[in-house]
Amino acid sequence: MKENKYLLFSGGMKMADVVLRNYTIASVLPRFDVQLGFGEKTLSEVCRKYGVNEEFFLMVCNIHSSDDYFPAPAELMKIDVAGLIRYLEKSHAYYTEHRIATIERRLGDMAAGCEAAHRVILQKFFSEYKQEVINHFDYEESTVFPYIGELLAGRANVDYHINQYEENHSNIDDKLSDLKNIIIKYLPENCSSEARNEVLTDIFLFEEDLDKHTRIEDKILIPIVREIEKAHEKR
Amino acid sequence: MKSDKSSVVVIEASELLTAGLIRTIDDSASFRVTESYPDVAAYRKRPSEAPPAQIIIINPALLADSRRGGVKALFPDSRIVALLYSYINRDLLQSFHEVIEIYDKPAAVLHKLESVMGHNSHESSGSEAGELSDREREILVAVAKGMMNKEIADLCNISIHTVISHRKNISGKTGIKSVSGFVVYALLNNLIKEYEVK
Repeated sequence: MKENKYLLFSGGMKMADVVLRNYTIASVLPRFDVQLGFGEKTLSEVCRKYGVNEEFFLMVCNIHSSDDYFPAPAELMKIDVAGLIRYLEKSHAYYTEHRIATIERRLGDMAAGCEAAHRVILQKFFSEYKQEVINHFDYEESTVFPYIGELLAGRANVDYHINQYEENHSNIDDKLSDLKNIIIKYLPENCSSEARNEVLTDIFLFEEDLDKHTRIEDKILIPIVREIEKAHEKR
Repeated sequence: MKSDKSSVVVIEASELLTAGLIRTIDDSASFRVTESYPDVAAYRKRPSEAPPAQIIIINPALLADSRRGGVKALFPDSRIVALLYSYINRDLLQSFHEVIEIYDKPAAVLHKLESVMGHNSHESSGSEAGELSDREREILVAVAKGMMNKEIADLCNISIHTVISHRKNISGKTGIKSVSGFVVYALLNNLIKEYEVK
């Protein structure tokens, strides 16, 4: 069949073709503990091999590839919530250990060629941003995810409600977008352009990934939890 | 026969899309498609004494051969809405008052038409282009120094509302939204010294 932007991935597709069509999915695989080297295996076969919930895996691949894609409510209810949370936690670790660490290192490389004063300014800005992201992830891991775990185990915590999470789901991407603007528009021209471009590419990729992450939280996690909460309240 | 509904003229080459638009618009309480044309040349042949439509919905691709930036000159008395389903140059799109995409739900289409009728002086709102004014720079520096909107309002003798609107314009022009981002901007541009940052 011809390539078409409205074509979603499916279980019968070769796993290699999924990654060939969208290379950013390669960075999603480790979060499912899936390794490259699929040979001719289909997506379904790969999921079975690694014990991954196929519905959720497909959903993540599709979210990463199609901006307009949104899973139908009936599909949402098939998802293994514990697996979803594991995925989110793995993503957090991946972001802090790899993505943010890489940006920080590249930013350092870039700033090495700038004036000392500018170097300090940039480092301070980025470490503030990094701390903000870490706090955000910590909050989810220490408050939101355990709450959902309790909910799944049939114990409802009356002191917390998923709406609170939604309210706290503040914009952590403002600073990242600010950094892009600063690098593109306001850093003096004497900073190395190669190093600058490398940082920029990293930021753009991270931003895109974070955007998908937020969509998974807002469009999949929150609606599912809200349904579970409703079921509890009816009891 | 006179109608209370606002008149809409559709200029679009696809009969399918035109029919869909007419159906959607005629079903509404506030709008009515009075005429439709497959291209601009056909529109130009309409009698000159015919009253101008209040809204023109047109596929920007049909304007490719007309003068650059001539959309408003072509329809000086109408609100102009682009019907979009392929890539288009952003500058060209800016001369339209609103944009309808073919996957918009009927309710969204009508909502857009209503908003286009409501705002008569919409053009001047976006100030994305251009350098910061002196006032904006002054406010940016104050924000970077850690001052609150109220303090800035007192300092500059303006209302908080004005401070907020300046801040919006600053973000629109610079692309920077966070206070820390303003600090970096101000330091890089030597507008403040490091020790002035809280």
